[in-house]
Order: sequence, then C-alpha cells, then structure tokens
Amino acid sequence: MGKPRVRPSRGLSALPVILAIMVVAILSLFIASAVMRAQLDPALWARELAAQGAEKRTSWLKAYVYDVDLCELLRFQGLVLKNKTLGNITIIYGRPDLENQSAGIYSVQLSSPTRILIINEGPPVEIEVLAFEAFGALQKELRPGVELKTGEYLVYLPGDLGLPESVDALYHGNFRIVAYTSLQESIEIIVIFTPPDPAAIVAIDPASGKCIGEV
Amino acid sequence: MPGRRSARRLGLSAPLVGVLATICLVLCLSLYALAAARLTQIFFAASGSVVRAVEEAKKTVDVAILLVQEPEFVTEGNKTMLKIMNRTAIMIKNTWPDIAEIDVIAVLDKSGNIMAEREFGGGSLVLAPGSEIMMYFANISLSLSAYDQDFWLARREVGAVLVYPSGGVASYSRWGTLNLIDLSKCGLSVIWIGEEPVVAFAC
Repeated sequence: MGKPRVRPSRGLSALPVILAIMVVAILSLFIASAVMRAQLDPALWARELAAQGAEKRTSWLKAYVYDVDLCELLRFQGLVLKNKTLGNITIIYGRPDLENQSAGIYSVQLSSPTRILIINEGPPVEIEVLAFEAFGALQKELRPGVELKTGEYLVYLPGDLGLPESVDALYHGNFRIVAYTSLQESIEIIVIFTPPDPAAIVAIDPASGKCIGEV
Repeated sequence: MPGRRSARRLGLSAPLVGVLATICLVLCLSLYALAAARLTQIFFAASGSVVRAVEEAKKTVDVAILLVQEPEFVTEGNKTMLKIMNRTAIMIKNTWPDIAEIDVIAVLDKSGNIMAEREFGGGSLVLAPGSEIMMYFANISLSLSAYDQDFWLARREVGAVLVYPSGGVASYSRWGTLNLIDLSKCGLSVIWIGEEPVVAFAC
C-alpha cells in the first residue's frame, strides 16, 4: 500500500472574505462621512462667523436667579403707579397686619424662596441636557428632554440642584448653565441675577382675577 | 501523523463559508445602516444648529408684547375709583445698524398656528437704525383688537408675534412691561405707623 494521498480542500478560507466585507463597509462609511464633512465644513465656518457676530446680542435662552415673589412684584408695580396718580399711598414692607387700604396703607411681601427660571424668548427649542455649574465644578446635570416654545420656561429650586439657596452665593460662585439642544449644539445660557419681568411669567386667572405665579 | 496533519489545509467547506459570509454580511450591513443613520442624524442636526446660529446673528428687530398699565378713574354706581387698566402694545425695535423694512407681521396662537397676519408692502413700514415703533393688535387685524384692551387675555391666548424684516430672518416676540419699575431704584425709609416703626418704599 502506498502513502495515502492528501487531497487539497476545495473550500474557501472564511477569514479573507469576512475581512474584505468589513474593510469595504468601513471604507464606505469613511467616504460617506468625508463627503458629509466636506458639505458641512463651510456651514460650520459660517456658524463660527455668525456666533462671533451674535456675541454681543441677547440670546434667546435666558436664566433668571431671584428670590422675589413675582405676583407681589406685579401688585407692587400697580401700587406704585396708583401712588404716582393719587400721591396718597404708603407702601410698607412685609407687615400685612398693619395694612389699612382705606387709609392708603398697603403691605407687600416681596421675598420668596430662590428660584432658577430658564425662559425661551426665541423659536421653539428642545432642551436635551442642562448642566448647572458653580464654584468651578459641575453641580448637577438634568435631562429634561422638553421642547420650550416661545415664552415657555422651566423653573428649578436651587436645593433640588444641590446649590446654595442664596442668590448672592450663586452670583459669587460663578453660577452658569449650559444647555445642550436637540440640534446637537451647546448654548451657554445668559444668567441674570434679578427677577424677570412678571408680565412674562405670571398669569391672571380669568375667573378669580388672582395672580398665578411660576408653574 | 504530524506530517499528514500539517499537509492538510485548514480550509472550510464552501457551503459553510457561504453561510458564515452571509451572516457576516448581514451583521456588517446592519451595523453599516446604524452608523449611516447616526451619521445622517448628526449631519442634519449640525445643519440645523448652523441655521439657528445664523438666524440669531441676523436677528434684526427686537419684538415685545408689552403690558401697558394705565391708571384710570372708573365710576361704578356713585363711587369713583382708580383702577389700573392692563392694556397691550407691540413694540418693534430695529437693532440692526441699517434700516429695517418690515415685510410681514404674523400673530401665532399657543400651538404655533397663524391667527392673523398683515403684509406691509412697498416700504410702508421702515425703521431707522435704533428706532422703535409701538403698534397694537388691531393694526395687524381688527379681529384681534380685544387683546389691546386686555393684556392677560393676550397672554393666555397668543403664542407670539412674528416679525419678518426684508432680507432678515423672523424675530419672535418676548413678553414684558412698558416702563417696568426698577426695584433697585426704590428707596427704603423707616416710617411710624402708630407706635411701630416700619419699612416703607419710596419709588
């Protein structure tokens, strides 16, 4: 008996086939991304220019940090206006027990818990992530995932964000908010440490005529 | 025997390679589709952000729907009293260092649908740099005139006023108060009510 003949296998090696497919797939993705990048680059450059131009303009997203009751502020505004017309009104601070409207004495209680209010004054924008930074560190990251239409707002209490309650502490702690929108852009929200205009935030109940604060 | 083993080629049979290659191809195509979808999404999102940034940079007018508080003496029965009327005005200010010609003003409801719009053709509404005008809802459409008399009704029902300047992009309105009192400019003094000292405002 002679030596057994070894017949070469007629099968293909799987590895080169798999590698070839993967290389083709990855290459085509790279080409697609390069084409898209080439299309997008001029637009991104335009955005940089636009951002430079817009630097000194007011942004559409604003944040207010304040410890004032906006309904009382609105009432206070009306009282000051009445006093300018009549001249016989005394507005005292935080003493409702001494209020005597027939004698022209009105009391207002302006202080309230500190709030952080983020309002959109531009086209609708969907906020995916909000990053709250203070004292040089990220304090809280939220994912509201909500669309803010024009004039709509979000309200937060500092305590819920792990932040100090004091407006002064937040101001001196370089408090800043960065929003990431559904357009994959990050916006540094302008933070204002005064109360917002009550007319932009509160509502008046048509039935009772009562002021409804931030909701 | 070692010699025989090394001589045998470590290949697979053709049908098995076919099956493996198909599985691999399907996997690769799925991953490719996912990656392509993500790439497209990023591309369109980036394009959107560019449009938004350019819009913001080109914003030529500042639009505000303002609460106008006006004291008015009202007689009810035989009693006359001072009431604060909450009226509405629309302020349009040109913030562009060139003239702004307004083409269209539209009023949107809370859902973003157009309630009314008015075209200002032929340069009938032109603002010099830095200038502003006050107008009313009735100037846009008489059907909206109720809002001029009741700011809070407008707040409940109107979403925004959109102003389209010629060659610029639309500006959305904000809400505000005309001649808002600056609290920081109000002085505080101590007055006596009866026997008690209290803090009083002087604005």
